[in-house]
Amino acid sequence: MIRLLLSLFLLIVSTTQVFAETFSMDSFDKIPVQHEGRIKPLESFARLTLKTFSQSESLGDKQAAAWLAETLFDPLASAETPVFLVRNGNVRHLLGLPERQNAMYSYAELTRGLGQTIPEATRLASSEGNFTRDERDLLQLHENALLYTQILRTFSLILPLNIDLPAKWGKKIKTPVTYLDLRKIERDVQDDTLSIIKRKGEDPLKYTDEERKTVILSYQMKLLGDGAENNQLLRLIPVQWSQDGEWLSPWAVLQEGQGSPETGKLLDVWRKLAQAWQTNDSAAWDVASHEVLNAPLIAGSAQVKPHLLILEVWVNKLRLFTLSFGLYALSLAFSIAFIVSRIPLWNKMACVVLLLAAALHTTGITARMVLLERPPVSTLYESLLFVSAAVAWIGLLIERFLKNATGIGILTGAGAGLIIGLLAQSFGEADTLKVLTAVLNTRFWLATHVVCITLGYGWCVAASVFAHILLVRKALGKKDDSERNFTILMTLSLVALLFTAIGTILGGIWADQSWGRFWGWDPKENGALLIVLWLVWLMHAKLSGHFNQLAMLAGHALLSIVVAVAWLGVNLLGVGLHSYGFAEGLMSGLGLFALAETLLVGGLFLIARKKTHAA
Amino acid sequence: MRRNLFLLLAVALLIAGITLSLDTKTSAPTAPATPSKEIVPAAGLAPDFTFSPMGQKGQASLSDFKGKVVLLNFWASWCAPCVIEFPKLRDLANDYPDQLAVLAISSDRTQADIDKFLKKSGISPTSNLLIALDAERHISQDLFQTIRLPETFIIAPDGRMVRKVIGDTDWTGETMRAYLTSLADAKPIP
Repeated sequence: MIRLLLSLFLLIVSTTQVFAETFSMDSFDKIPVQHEGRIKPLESFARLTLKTFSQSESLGDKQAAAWLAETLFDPLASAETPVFLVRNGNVRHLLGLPERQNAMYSYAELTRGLGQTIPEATRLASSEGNFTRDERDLLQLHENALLYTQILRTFSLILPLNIDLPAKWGKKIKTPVTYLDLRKIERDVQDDTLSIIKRKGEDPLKYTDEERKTVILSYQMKLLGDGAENNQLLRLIPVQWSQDGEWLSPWAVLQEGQGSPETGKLLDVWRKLAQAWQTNDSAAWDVASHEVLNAPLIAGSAQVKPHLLILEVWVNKLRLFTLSFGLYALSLAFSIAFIVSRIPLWNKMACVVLLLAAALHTTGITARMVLLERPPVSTLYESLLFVSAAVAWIGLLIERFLKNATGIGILTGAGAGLIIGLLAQSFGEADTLKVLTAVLNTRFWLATHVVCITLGYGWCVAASVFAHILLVRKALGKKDDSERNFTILMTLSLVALLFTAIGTILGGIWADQSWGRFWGWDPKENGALLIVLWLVWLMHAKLSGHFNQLAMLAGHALLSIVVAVAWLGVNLLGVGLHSYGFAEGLMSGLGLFALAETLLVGGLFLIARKKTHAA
Repeated sequence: MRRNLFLLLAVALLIAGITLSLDTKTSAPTAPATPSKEIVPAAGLAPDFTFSPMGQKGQASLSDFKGKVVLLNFWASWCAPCVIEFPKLRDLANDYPDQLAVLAISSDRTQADIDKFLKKSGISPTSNLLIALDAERHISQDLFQTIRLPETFIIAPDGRMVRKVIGDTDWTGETMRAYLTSLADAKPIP
């Protein structure tokens, strides 16, 4: 068993450690960059960006960091690498792209088509309203290409240029020449160019070779400078005299006058790194990437916390969530095997695997908390992650209560953990570790209201899944300890009610503090209230004797629809103040889910009732 | 059962407690720092360099001015904002002859360009207003990575670069005078 788990773990870890290049990315991975409002390792930036372009965090054997290094230091080779996934056939046709199986295209292949569709993209970008799928995909591709060119040009000021210098300047400037070197003679070249045009006009045929080279040089310098306008994506350099913790891209440092002896030294080390990449010198690469990481401006920045950079790189590479979801599936398989065969070993294995999965999952969530320095739940994606972990632990707790080892607890935990976990994985937002907007960035309320209400969702999901399993068993005519199971279901229901009710009240207090009113009939508030009312209704029905055990099971099974509507459904409305959760494209899925659940629970209820009456 | 419910509540309270303690710690890494009314500390000392001041024999170096506040001004005669602020730098140098030195490093092409400007504006170098040509951009670009003119580094008497002024500014204004005086009077950091 342990060997199996170890093999699975190493398999996943080992796939992230293999680099196609001879270069070690150990130091390069951890170089800090300011992106999306926080300091993160370059490795995270590379993964996120590559996923934006290709929907994947690696390009075959080439890891994201290696791809980023190639794009930064060897733009020509990178532009020929297929990195853009163009799934939409109409967009491919519009851009004149050849058909191929994986629908991956290089920047060089895209440029012609993108150039021709600039007017259309400009029109779309400035318009509001609903886009068709083709329009949305075309616009997205243009935006991605823009993002890519920013990365491509990040270091165009220090990379060697393929420029034929006039003899007059060739003696003054050492080769290989860079844009920074050319800046020293920019004024002189401009003056010379104006003088040539004044004397001989604008027809290059009238120029001497030297004059032609001077004019071309002037044009090339302008092209390079213009191309770097607004190049602010890769913020790799801390601003030395900044009071707001801002970092800048290499180009922005110069354009905004933030250069200093320290930024000069840092750019020199980046230049060495670029040179090492271009000359395929892995020893120099190791030294230079280490030097960047330890440059005074980087190492001396209070914002850079090396242990967090290392932690984030490891969290990225270990893929804790993917690993735990795989283990949930394994636990589910073992659990089903136990239910079918009744061999106790299967159940024990399912229990151990579920415990491991929940532990890894929780470690992942804890790591996110440490990295972001905030409580675990603030976005819809994070709530899905949190609930799936919570349900896994609840499943283990149920299994502990069911001392006769029926496997129902494991089935509940592994099944719900897997389904919600996969739902989280399917979200386009993915694991971006985003920093939140100010209104949500209130740690106290995130830790109390949000955690409380999300735990309430978790207990509700566990109660619903547990009720499903009991209903199935009843429909199959299984005779088991139904009273004990029913007591556990009631406990789950009461705990769910406790967390949801307290969470809703805490939300009201937060709303009163932030928005000046306790209750505003906001869709999210209504959703939370709906769960509370549903649970209270079921409890009242039980206490008053209106619902028998079977009806209670059906009522709790249908709790899944109420939770889905409150948790995900209200976000589809796109109104209200809980804007962090707005989502698109879930309507049909949610409708199908509600219909399927109604049919399933209704069907099971009718079959179980028939069997009970017959008995 | 009751014991487990208590355990559950204890865990929830623990999470809330940990988060509360996190809340009392320093703010998130990218949160704006509170602007300080004190002199903003900068990273490191200004690198020393030598230059040939106009109107003087031999060379001078930045370290010669240790003990004074130094305004290391990068400028050029073709740069309009530089030309506008230059007289104010001259006035400032005249007002604080013992406490302040202005080192004006020019990115002009030739010495003649500087001479022409100085003649036209009636400015002459003094013992604490030093003007030098940096045609090869070794000081302005290679050493101080200055490209957008004018840019001025304010260097404290102990050699620390404490501020960078980007673009032209009112050097003779009250705020700037008060700031420079506080710098000159400040005890050097050991």
